[in-house]
Amino acid sequence: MNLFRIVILAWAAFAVGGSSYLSYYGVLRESRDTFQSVRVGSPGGGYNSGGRIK
Amino acid sequence: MTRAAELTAINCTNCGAGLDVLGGGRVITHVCGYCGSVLDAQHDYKVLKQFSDMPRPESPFRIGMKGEIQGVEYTIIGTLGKREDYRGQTWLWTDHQLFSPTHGYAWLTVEDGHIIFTRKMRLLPRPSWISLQKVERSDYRPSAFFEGDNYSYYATSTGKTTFVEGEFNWLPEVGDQVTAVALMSDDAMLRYVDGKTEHEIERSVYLPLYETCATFGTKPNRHPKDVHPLQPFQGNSNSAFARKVFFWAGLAALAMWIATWFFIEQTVVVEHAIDPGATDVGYRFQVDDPSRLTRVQVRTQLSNNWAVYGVDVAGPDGQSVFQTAREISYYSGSSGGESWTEGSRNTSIRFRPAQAGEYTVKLELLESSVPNPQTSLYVYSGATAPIWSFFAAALLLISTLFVSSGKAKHYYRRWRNSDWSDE
Repeated sequence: MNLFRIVILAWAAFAVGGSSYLSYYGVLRESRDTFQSVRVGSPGGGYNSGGRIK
Repeated sequence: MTRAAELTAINCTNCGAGLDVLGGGRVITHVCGYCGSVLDAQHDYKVLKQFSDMPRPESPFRIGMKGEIQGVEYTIIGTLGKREDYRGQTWLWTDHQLFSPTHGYAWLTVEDGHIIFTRKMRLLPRPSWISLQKVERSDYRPSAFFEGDNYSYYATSTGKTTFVEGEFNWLPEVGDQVTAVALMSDDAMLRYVDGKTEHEIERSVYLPLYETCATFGTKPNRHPKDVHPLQPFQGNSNSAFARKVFFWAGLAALAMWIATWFFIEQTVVVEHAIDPGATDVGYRFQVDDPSRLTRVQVRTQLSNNWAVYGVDVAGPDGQSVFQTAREISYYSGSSGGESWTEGSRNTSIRFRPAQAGEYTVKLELLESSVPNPQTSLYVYSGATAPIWSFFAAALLLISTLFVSSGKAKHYYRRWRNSDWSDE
């Protein structure tokens, strides 16, 4: 097996393994509004400040 | 009258030049390469006519060279220069007549650095004849079958002879025009040749340039710049390996995407008919693996309305993990005969618990355009992020297509000069 094939095989294994890990553990998919309590930490206007409520 | 079998050389009966006799007993014409005289090989080499000012065509091969093709030794006995002019374009090629004492006569064609080997067919394809008129009348691309292979129409061409030299088993003429209808399979071409006196069918295959030149003891005088219609695709083994690896890895990532989307997540709380006004009611759920996401989902049956929910999650120690609020709005209707929707009836909140244990989630209706909307609460442990596997599957499968595109490009280049049009 030459170097090219080793690199291709490693890259494919990394892509499948890495994406499986990220998917399984939900990496970077936490909701951003759980990092800081919107209801407690909002300086004012809170959830309704975006004006999207019809 | 036939030639003496032991004859190996003659002197041109017009100019006296020495000419080798190489072509076997069925040669009827010998064209002197020095003076252009056409000699009748069957009648004491008397001069039939003389050609002059013939442009010598390009070729790495010369009369008298011997080489092996498909396991048979052939000798080059004649050379024809050919030309086709069509719609302002000119094609030039060189045909060499070959002779084998055991396999008879054949052709070696040199065109733009490509080498083609052609033999007349003794077994006929189906159909046994395709005329130019039939091609012009056909609504569909004409096809033929021979020895299990399917041949599709490629082009019709009319070649004109511009140069003759050597021995031939017929009488060549400078200025002769021959029209041929060509059909092509994956690796061979059938040509229905409409000659002056008879119809012939030829089959051509591509020969490797360097090996063929080497067996005749010569070197290529030019290198191919483009793909010949008969040229086989030569993908290297590394590309084939990469294509297989990317394909199977892409399928694996796709399987992981499906698994993370449908199977891995576990439902730990399902509560329908929640009274969102009852703010003191908490719903408990167990978190066993804090390294994985937990997902809280609020589902409603809102229609053309909105509601804002407060979500409060407390950990095993009773301390708040987070508090947040989510607006849910869903609108639908139709305009201009088309229906539309906007928003969603659900919202999901994903968080990563700090520790294992029993958690509590409380739901509160903060504001709403309707009183007491129908509300359900779901909590999932081991929530996933399928999008990563989807990205990987897409990347790997696109890579497979990219690596495979070389063959498709080659196929396109082989057929791009076909003169068939479906219109």
